[in-house]
Amino acid sequence: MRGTHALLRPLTRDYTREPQVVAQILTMQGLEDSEFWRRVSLENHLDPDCPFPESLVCWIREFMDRGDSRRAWDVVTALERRVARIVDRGLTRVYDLRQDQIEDLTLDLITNLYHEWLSLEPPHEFWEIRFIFCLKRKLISHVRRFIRDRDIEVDLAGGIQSAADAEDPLSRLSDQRSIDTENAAIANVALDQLGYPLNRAFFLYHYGELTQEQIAKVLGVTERTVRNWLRKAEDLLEIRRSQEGYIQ
Amino acid sequence: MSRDIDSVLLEYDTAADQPGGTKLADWIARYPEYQDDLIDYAYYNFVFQKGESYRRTDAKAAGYLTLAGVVRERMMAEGLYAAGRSADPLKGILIAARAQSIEPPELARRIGIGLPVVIKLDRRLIRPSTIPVELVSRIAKELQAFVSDVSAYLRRPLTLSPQANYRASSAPQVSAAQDFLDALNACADVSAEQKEFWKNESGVVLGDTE
Repeated sequence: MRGTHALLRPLTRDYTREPQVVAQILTMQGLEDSEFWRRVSLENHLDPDCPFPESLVCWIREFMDRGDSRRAWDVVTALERRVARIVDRGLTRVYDLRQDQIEDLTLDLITNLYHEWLSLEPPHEFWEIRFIFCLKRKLISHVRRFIRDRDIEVDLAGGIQSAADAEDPLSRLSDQRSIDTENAAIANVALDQLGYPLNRAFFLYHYGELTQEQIAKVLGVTERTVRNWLRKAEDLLEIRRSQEGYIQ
Repeated sequence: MSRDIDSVLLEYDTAADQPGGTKLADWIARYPEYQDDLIDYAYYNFVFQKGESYRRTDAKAAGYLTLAGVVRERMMAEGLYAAGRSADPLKGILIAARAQSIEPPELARRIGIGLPVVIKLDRRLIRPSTIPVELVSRIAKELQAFVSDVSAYLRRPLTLSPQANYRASSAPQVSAAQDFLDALNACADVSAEQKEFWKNESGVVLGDTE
């Protein structure tokens, strides 16, 4: 089934497949059907027979290239089981999404993923080079688009924007990272709950190590606004710290 | 020469994974044209890895795999990536299982339903519009068959026991098939946990993909 066909289409962009992926694809080419599909269905990446996701994308496209879309879809089915846990887990960590919104986002994401995995177009070749990176990019772009839409609604409602406009004179922060260990632990888990743009400002300041001036520049606001956002973020985290019973 | 966003983010991703990490500020300074992408990538990477789970997985909700089954069936049925009909469609669940050296009780155990339900599925005594897509995926995986072939088989008209001897000029008809959950609940060798699992999976069924 697989042995008589030239494998590994040349990539048209300036990419190179990882050597271990190439070796694995060539090994799989020589397998009997039953062993080939057994390996495709493996999900535990610690199993030495378990194919790299990059290899599976390559096989999807090999089958598509030969006009055997049914086998391509079977590889897609195996690949989706490996992707599901990453996506489901990631989405539970995005704050304030309703279940119906998660389902909408997931449906849109899946449709997009399948199109790109099955496509032979050069812009989608990168899935064969860095699968997990591509998956993260795709997930982030879908979440970002969704969250931005939501946050615009929040801004229009005036909640966050009004907090930034009037500076509390007591809220001025010195330009140093004063977050303590306990608050850092809370911030780790509650960061996304702060909402945009407090979460970005807080992240850039405490984890990205940008100065308040740099944050003001990249977010297109004044330093005073950044200081207010940071103060507001710390206040919210303090409230959070005093609460009990949030889901671990 | 300006670099494309993918290669910049990949380089950042690789550098951030190294011991000691890398300073986001340096990357923003180096690639100001991609600052929004860099910030959002770094931010969500952090949230996905270290963030809090704000909600438990809702057992009744459709997760990725369930939704993926729906999308896959639709895309296989029509459009740019539609799959052609199989030259060798599934002849039967139990026949295909035996071809894989899987006896019916073992198949029932692997897919998490009782043996009587497996036999009913094999004879299409279960109403297709009530069969969870997740069950179809599991059967296909065990039989090493195409999901579309399994769903097509389950949608064919029901059959009666081959032992039955009907003296009739045409194939005998049975008035009604059974709902999947009814068949499951009537099955004594299915645990309460399994019944609860399939009850939660019954939100997305073959009927939804037609």
